[in-house]
Amino acid sequence: MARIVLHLTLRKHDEEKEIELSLQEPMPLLSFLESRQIPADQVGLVVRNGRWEDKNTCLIHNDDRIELFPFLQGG
Amino acid sequence: MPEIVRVNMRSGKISRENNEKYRLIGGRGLTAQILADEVDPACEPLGAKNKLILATGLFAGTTASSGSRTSVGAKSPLTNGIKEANVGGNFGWNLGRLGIKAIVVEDLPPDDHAYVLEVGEGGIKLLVRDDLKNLGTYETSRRLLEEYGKDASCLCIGPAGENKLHAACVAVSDPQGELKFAARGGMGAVMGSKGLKAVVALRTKANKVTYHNKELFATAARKYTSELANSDKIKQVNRRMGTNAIFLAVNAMGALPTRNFSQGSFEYAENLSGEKMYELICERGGEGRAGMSCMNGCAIKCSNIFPDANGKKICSTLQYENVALLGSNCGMTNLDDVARLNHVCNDLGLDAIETGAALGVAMEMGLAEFGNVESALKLLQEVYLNTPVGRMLGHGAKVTGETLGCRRIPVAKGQAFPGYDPRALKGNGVTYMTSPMGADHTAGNCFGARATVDPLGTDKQGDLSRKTQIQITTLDCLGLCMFVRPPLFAEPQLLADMVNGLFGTELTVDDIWEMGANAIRTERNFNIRAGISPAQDRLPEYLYTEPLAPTGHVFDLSEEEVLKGVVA
Repeated sequence: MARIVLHLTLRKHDEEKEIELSLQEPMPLLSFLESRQIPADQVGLVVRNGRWEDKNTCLIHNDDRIELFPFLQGG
Repeated sequence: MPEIVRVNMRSGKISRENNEKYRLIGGRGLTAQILADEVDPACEPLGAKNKLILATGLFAGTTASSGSRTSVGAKSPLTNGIKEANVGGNFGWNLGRLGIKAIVVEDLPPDDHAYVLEVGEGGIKLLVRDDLKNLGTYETSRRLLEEYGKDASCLCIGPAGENKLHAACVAVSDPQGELKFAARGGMGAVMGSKGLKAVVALRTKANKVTYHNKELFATAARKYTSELANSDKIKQVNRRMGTNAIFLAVNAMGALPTRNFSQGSFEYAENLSGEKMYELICERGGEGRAGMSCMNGCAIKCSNIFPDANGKKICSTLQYENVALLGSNCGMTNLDDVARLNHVCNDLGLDAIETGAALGVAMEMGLAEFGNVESALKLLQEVYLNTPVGRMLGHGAKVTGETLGCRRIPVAKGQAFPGYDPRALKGNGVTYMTSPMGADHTAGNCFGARATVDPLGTDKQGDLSRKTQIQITTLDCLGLCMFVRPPLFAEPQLLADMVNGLFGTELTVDDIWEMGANAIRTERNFNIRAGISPAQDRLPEYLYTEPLAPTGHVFDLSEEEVLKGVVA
């Protein structure tokens, strides 16, 4: 089971913060975003299993934990 | 043309001058240029030859949203190099409307009095105010604002500054009377060395700001202000959580300062997050608030008041850097503890970042206990008492670490790392190393560019750091808050239009960015003459050898990559 965590503005008002996905084969992150109607250009940071990933090439595997953040600015 | 005011603390003489040379130089650029022109780089930071400069940006007093920050500059007792720390609040706005571009404080006083400089339409006066001696920043500003009115702005130091502690900062009051801080680099100690307890900038009836082409300026200002005001992200993130919105992102990347920079993520991160902070502010109510402006007319409104369980204010404002350094870096597991520590730092007039790093070092060496707020508060009481231990902590992480024999001292050029471990955000490592400011996130924070550059990668970091250093320094020269970046970096012609509308110039966008680059070059040259050679563009050795959990990375950029970050 893959877990996708949507942070801040990437989560719609009534949406769960964590989404679970059962995957038979790796799924491109961009396909996941499209399926959830999350514009890819709003995703600023992708962390897969504790490591940064390029959102354009990221593949979601079963058992992955993926955290998605919008574009944020450091203070 | 806006004037430069000079105050000689030895003679008490106050003079005003116009200098065409400085017409198009503002904020951090102006502090750098005046220091380069007038201060011997080899001087003692707390001696007679150093000067404290309070400078406004080019947009001070105008209608530009978030555009009236105040730059505080001097040779730093912490880094022994040039330093600028800028701050919101109303001080810059009031100075701009008074037609004052900068206040240059010179020499040392002949006595031990506490002085207050009163700046208003009726003139400028230096007053003896020994009744304010040793008062914390909160009481100092409360008394002065009660006296001068809530439209005035108070810039002051606390006991840390009066005691010339190297991590002392400068506090500035905002429209609500809350305090903001020019925190980094020990500018409060320089102010304390001058015997200057506070400067009060009075609100004017008339506005001396003149526009060459007001329509050009106003059109550009309205455009970016409107984009900020209508941005969903500003509304849903900045106004609720301020900069602490990034806490979980930095934790997820493994770059969060944790227990004296020994780990990059914290098991209690959710408790310290921006989401939790906003939830508690709403739940507890009372004096708690989010979405407050720290400057007149600011469209971002990222300040807050964090309340205790009874709704009573603990601290204003909780922001990411302080939560990271006083929180996870000290092992604190809840925001109440962080807010209590932050409040004490603010009242003492101590940089909360430097102090959080110093406490982390002290905890590693057994002077206090990670996660035990009472033990940390007890140490901070030593600062109030000005004991040797208090002075050690108040001089920052380097002095604390060296005194206690700690090997892991998270500093660059003598200044503590802010809230990003450079092993897991390597672009910021380049900034800490190559910026004349030392380890200062406001000098070029690479955190915001995570979609395109791998924070753990070994390439692109130098170019990224260099670019962000120039961009952010340009905003510092104009007096703009760094959170105006999205609309203005997407359309930088707006910056050129505002400058041209204000001054009647025909500057291009490239000319605007050159303001930032020039300021950095001036600072770097000052530092070289101060004895800070490029050989000191280094990080502590443990960062090159000690892997940081959870990513397991060390700082492994090549010298060639780091050198790309130098703005030469």
